[in-house]
Amino acid sequence: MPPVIHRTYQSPLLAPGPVYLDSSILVAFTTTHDRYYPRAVQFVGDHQVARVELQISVLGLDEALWRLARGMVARSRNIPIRQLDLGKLVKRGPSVLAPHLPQLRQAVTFMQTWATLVAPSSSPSQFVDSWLDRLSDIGGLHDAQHLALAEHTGARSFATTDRDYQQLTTLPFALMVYRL
Amino acid sequence: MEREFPALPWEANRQTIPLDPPSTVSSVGANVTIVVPPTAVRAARRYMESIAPRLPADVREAIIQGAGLFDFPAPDDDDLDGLLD
Repeated sequence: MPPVIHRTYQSPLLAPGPVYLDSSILVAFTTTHDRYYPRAVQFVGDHQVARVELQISVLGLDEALWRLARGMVARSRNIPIRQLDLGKLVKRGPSVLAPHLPQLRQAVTFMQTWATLVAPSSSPSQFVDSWLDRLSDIGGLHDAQHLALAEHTGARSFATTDRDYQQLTTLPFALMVYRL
Repeated sequence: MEREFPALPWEANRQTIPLDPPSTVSSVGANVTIVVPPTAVRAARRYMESIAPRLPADVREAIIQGAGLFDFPAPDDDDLDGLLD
């Protein structure tokens, strides 16, 4: 199996495209207080200038929306983000998110404009097999699914701020992991 | 010179968290630390302005307006609650 090549992103060196972005990049790019905001802006900007395809997935959007919604609701209630149980709140009804939906929709629209929203090119069952296989490489269910998505969308690079991916040593497909 | 970005419709009445405090000052009402210095935020904006002419025309506005669309404090870690792993 090919070794996973790890890189820390250094502008202006580009990641080979297509580059799959996990939600950490989406959140960092759209949130000025995220500690990776400046680097995410540079990463996305550099690759857009060079016309390198950036890929996002429904899973990544799901995670990003959750984190963005959580920040917005916490701010609107003036409580620390960590003290907000958004899952419990949204179960009570759509009114919790309703005031923030225009902004969330706008954010997703922007993301879909500069990145390609991708889906696995394989059959659903093949994709699920890959997802479960990746659980041998990384612990998190979502992290494993992101890797399977990168495999089945033909990504050559994977960009993240998540340290969990550093544990990857080999994969059955070639992938370069760029950490911001 | 910093570029003034046009206000988005919902920005007119939004509460803005001041960007002036030093980077290590905890934000009011939130048990988190702002870890991005205002100078870094401004530098990111300047960078975006500098590359704007070279961005593909069909994505330019989405990139420029989408970068830093939100300004709520973010917890200083990779994972908010473990749910996203």
